[in-house]
Amino acid sequence: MSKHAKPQLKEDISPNVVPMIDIMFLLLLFFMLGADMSQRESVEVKLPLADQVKEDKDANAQKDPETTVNIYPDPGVNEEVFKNAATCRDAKYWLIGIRGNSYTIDALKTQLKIEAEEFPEPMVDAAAGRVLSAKKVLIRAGQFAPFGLVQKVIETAGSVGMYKVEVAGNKPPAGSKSK
Amino acid sequence: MAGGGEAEDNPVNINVVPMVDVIFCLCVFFMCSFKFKQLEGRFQSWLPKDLGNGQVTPDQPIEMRVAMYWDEQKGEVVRQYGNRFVKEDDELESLINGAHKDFVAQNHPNAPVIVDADAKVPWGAVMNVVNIAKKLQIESIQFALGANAPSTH
Repeated sequence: MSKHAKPQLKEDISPNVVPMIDIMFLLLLFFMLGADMSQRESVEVKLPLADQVKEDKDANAQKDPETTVNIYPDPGVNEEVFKNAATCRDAKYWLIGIRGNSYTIDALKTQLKIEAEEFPEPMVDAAAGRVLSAKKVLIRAGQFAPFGLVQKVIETAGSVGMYKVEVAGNKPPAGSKSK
Repeated sequence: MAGGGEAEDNPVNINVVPMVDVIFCLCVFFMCSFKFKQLEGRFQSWLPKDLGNGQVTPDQPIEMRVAMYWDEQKGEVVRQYGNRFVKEDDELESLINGAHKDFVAQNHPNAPVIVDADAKVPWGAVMNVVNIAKKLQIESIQFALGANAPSTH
């Protein structure tokens, strides 16, 4: 070894990861809080746009019992069919579902009857001449769903005493016109 | 926050690399599953408790009826108010508004808007009419089924 050996440079390249960890924690927190992990009653449906709808901000705080009926595209049918209103007019392309189970109109009546009887109103209604249900029905139908199906669901709900019917829509994004 | 002080001050050196890895993975997971939710809302459309059995149709109906048909050939919705075919939303809005004002003047403020659409009309088109009615502060909106397609339009 030579007498004047070069002193070994000991480089310590260790970036300070603390700010990065801080930011990542914040990001993680943001995404965790933003993630919707609740088990949803609703199916992914492209709802019609309507700027006058009352927002569901207090949906979780809502006290009234409710059954959500979804009218959504049959997943077994080619997606292309649902891209245009003209190609999906037939009711056979659509399913009616409650909590992930699909029903025919007859089966829906049976199911809604069960749901209606869970929350009867305290007294016999004079106009109806029977005990109606206090439970609401929220209909979430796709924007291209045939009106006939929605009408059938409304009719079925009415026939089992569920008269508190609501229909769902999406608020259009700011600046766009609802159609 | 996570930091504070120099590394030399801390005799215990924690290897943060696995933690950073895990946080990265979690971040990627949540980022991928994150979706901007569109605001969802609802219209109340409560049914008559007697299922409409008690209604009598007067000679001069106190209603604003919007008939809707699905035109198979053109692949579009045809809207009719009275004898008039209405294409534009603004036109329909002004027609309903005019009729509503007339009914209010005649002491019938609760005259309903009746959406009389055939079964094939897309739900979005029906909701659009409901939206117009709600914009005009008309609370009574009814759905009817079975509008017959006009012979000519």
